[in-house]
Amino acid sequence: MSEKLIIENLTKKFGKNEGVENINLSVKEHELLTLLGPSGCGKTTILRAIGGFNQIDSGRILLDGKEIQNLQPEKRPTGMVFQSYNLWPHMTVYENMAFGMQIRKCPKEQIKKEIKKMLELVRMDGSEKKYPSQLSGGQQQRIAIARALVLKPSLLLLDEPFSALDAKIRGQMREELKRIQREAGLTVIFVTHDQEEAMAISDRIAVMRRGYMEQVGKPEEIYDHPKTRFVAEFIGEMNFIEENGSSFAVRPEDVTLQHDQNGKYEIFQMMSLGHYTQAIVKKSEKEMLKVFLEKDQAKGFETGNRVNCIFDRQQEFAARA
Amino acid sequence: MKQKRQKTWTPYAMVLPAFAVMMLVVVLPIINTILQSFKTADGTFTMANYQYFFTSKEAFQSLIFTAIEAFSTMILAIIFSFLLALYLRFSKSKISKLIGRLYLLPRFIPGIVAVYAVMNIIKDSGFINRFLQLFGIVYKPGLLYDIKGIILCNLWFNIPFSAMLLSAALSAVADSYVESARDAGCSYWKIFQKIIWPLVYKDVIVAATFILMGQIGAFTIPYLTGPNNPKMLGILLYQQVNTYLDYQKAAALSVLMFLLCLGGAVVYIKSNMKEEVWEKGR
Repeated sequence: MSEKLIIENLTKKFGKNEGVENINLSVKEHELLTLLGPSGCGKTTILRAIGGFNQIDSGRILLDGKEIQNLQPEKRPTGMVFQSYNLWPHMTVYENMAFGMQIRKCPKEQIKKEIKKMLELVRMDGSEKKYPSQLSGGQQQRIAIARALVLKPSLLLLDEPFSALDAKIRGQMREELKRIQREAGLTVIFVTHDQEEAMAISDRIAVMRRGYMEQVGKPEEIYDHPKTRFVAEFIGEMNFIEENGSSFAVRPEDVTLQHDQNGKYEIFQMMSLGHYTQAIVKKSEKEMLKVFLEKDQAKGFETGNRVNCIFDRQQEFAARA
Repeated sequence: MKQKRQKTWTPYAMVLPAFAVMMLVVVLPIINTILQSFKTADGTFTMANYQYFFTSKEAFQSLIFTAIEAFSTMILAIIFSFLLALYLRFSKSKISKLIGRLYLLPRFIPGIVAVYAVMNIIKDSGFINRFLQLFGIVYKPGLLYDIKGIILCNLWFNIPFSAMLLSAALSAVADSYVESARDAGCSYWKIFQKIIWPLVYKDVIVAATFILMGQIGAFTIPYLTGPNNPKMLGILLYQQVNTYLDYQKAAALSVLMFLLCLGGAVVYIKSNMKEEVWEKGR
């Protein structure tokens, strides 16, 4: 796969401490890359810089081999979908989608054909005459994606597009996006602060913190081998055990409980979370571990049991200062 | 039973004071004025009061003068305030924030104080004249006691007022509406034309009608800064009452002015009532 987008030494500062510095990143053709991080980490700044909504201080952005960092948004071959208020409220779905093509002076017949095709892709066919206020939030975001796609962007930029939707719809939209991306062969940059969402949809994830890239890699890679303590903490659930000046990180599913009268741990709480059970085991007031148990395994344990913990896999980090 | 009766009467009791005041100071005077406008001084029926205003050259000139002044004020105030509101809405600079805090200030300065202040600057021996004299330039602006003076002073009050209305309207235009239009390849002019204007034009009409109606009954500003002849309708009315003591003509003029304002009210209500499909359920 060839490189679609290359970002070299991108710097964009807002005031002294905010913004991003010396960002290097590349996105491959047909790849869905997620920029993931807590709010204020600079993920949206990078996305908006690619879209042209942030003038960058220095660096280069190459899309399909061409430098685009000095182009206005209307001249860039990117398509952006925002968190909310994407659709123009006074235009119907059809008018919303036709708008950009009309500016490009496409023939009417072609506009009609393309819109029909795109609405089918996002499974919203038949909604041409509706106004945004007559659609649900999830439907509006589908149309927003379709509206961006109808202009055949070289790169699709999504800025937390599902964060205003409720949990169930959000899950559906993830699957939809993944399907649309596959069917249309899109290259997508997706911004989110939701690590679960990032894990679910991404080909690769770039975890960001305070304007820096902490780790870039495949979801499994980031989950199984976090490079920094921050990544280990941010992605998924993680226990940290401080011992002799260093700290060990253990995933709750990598802990096995064993009954032992003289065990170091005591089961403090059991909580059924549907297909698995979460147990909190306690060594002292300060040292508690979270353990995930399969439903059947959990049947053998009760609150108050003394147990031993076996760590199937662990990773060492420098102790927190 | 007693409680039930109380419940029935409480709303009426609450409305009564406001209703009584309205009857006393609005409805009765209007009826009285309309009746008086069709009478002579000794009480017989006549159309002469109206006839006078439709045939008198002075009255016709005043009407034209008022119309020119009102429309000029309206158009200028709307243009300036719309530009100001656009700037306040879309610029994120420090200057924009500062202006955003200050622009309503003129509304809090008592009208007459402001008018005298403006007069002191624009009159032929005012600040502009004296300042230019420092450089040896003798320049008389010729703004005061002229239609230009009235318009200038009215802009002082109407720009902030209409900018306030339009700012509120523009706050409904989300950043992403504009950004997604740019993303789609839209120029700034097209964004204004196709995205911003359709979302706010109703409020522009509302602001424009308010300004226009205010001008029809305007008194203080034209009285202090306007010419002797032709004059604004408000001054003409004042003269009928205080100079000529002709209450019947004054009543007829009042009715005519009321009808003019009614025209504005119709436009206002129409544009407010007209709900477009996309606004339903918002």
